[in-house]
Amino acid sequence: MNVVKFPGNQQCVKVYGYLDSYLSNELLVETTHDVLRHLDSCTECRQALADRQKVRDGLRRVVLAETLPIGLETRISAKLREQTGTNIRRAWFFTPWILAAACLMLTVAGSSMIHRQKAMAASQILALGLGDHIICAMGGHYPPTPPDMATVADEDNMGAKYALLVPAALKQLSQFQLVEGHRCHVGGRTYPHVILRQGDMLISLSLVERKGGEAFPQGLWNGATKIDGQNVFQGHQENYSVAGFATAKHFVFVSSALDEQTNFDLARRMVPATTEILRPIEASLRKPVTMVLAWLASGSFQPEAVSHR
Amino acid sequence: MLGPKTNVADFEAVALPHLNDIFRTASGLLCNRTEAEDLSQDVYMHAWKSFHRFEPGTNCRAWLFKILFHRLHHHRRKWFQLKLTKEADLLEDTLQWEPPVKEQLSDEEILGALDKLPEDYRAVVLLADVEEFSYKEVAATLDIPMGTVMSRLSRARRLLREQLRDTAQSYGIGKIVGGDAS
Repeated sequence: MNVVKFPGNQQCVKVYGYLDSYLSNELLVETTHDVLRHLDSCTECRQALADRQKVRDGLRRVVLAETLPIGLETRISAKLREQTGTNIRRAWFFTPWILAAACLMLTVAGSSMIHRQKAMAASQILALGLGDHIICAMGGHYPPTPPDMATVADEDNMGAKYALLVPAALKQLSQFQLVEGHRCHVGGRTYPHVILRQGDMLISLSLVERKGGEAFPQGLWNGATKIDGQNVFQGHQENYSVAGFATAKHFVFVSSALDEQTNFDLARRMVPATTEILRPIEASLRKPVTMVLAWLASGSFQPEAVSHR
Repeated sequence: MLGPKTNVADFEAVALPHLNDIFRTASGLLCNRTEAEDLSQDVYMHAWKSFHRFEPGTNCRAWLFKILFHRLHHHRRKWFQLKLTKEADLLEDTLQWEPPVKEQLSDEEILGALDKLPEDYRAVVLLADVEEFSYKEVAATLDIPMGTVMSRLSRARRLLREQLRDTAQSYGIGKIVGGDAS
C-alpha cells in the first residue's frame, strides 16, 4: 500500500487506517488503546475521526428517515391473500377504498422540507385509522341492530379490556348512537373498533397497537394541536376526515365523512376519556373485565335501536 | 426444518415488521420509491412462497434481506445489463490524507453522495452502516467473501467522504489543518 500526502507523524499513518474500524468497535483492545492514546495528542486524526462519525451519523439519519409508502403493508397483505385465497374473520383487503386512503393529505401549514417530512410520516399513521373506517364501517361490516354490551365485551368482539370505549364514546359523543363494537383485522393489524352513527353519518373510533418505532412526528409543529397533553393530528382525503393521537402503546383515530374541523372536534372530545381507559390497559394494572361487569351491573347502558342501512 | 406452513397470518407476524427496513434499503439501492415499492412487494411474495423453508427462531430480517438482493439481481438481469463494478478502477489502495468534510451536511448532500456510489458499494454501506449488519451477515446476504465486504465498505466510505468534502478547505481556503508532510 502506498502512503501519500500525509501530515503528522508515522503514528498518524498507522492510526488513520484504523479509524473506521475503531468507530465500528472492531479493533483489538490493545489496538484500541493505541488509537485512543494517539487521538489524545493528534488534532488532525481527531478531526478525521469526527469526519467519519459525521458522515456515518448523517447517512443513518437520512436513510432511516425514509418512510413506507402509505398502504404498502396493506397491499402486500392483500396480495398474499389473493395468492392463497386465505380469508380471516372480519378481514377485508384490497378494496378501491384502501387505494383512496393512500391519497390522504395532512392539514399542514407551511411548506418547509421538515414540515413535509413530518406531514408524510403523520399521514401514514393516520391512513391506518382511515383505512379501517373505509374498509370496515363504510364497507357495511356491522350488524343490522346494535349489539348489547355483553356481546361487545365478548373476547370474540372488542374484548372486555377495550369494551369500555363504547360507553365512553356514547357519553362524549352523545349525539351519536352505537352501531357496532368489535375487533377487525385489516392489513395484518387488529383494530378494536367502535362504529357510531347519527342519521346516515357513520363515525369510527378505532385503535391499533403501535409497532416498534412507530410514532407521530415529535415536537410541536403546524400539523399538530395539543389537547390535554396529547398532540392530535388531522388529515383528509376527498370525502373523509381523520384525526388521531398516540398513547403509550396505541394509536387512536376518529374517522368520518364529516368536515375536517367537526371530525377533529369529535376526536378532541375523545382524548381524555380514551387516554384514561387505555392507561390501565397499557400498564396492565387493572382488571378491565371487572370494570365492564360493574358498569353493566349499573344498568346505565341502554342502546337505541339502529335500523339496517 | 419444520413442515410447510400455510398460515398467512404467521408469515405476516414475523415478516411484516421488517417491511420498513426492506423498503428503505430497496429505495436506497434503486434511488426510486416506486421501483422500491414494487421490489418490496416482490420480496414479500417470494418470501411467502419459500416460507416453508424458513426456520422459526432464526433471523427473519437477514433472510428477507437475502431475498431482497436475490430479487434485485433477478430484476437487474431481466431489465438491464447487470452492471459489474470494476473495483480496482475506482480507487487505488492508497492510504491518503483526506481533506475535511463540510461542517454542516444537509440531507440532500448526503443522499446525493449515496446516489453517486456504485450499486455494489451502496449495498454494503447500507447494510453495514445503516442497517448495522455484521460483516459476516453482509457477506452472507450479498453472497460475497468477507474480505470483499471489508474492502468495498472501506472504499464506499471513502467515496462518500470525497463527495462530502469541504471544497473550500481542500483548496486551502478557510481553516487550515496543520501538520508536516511525511
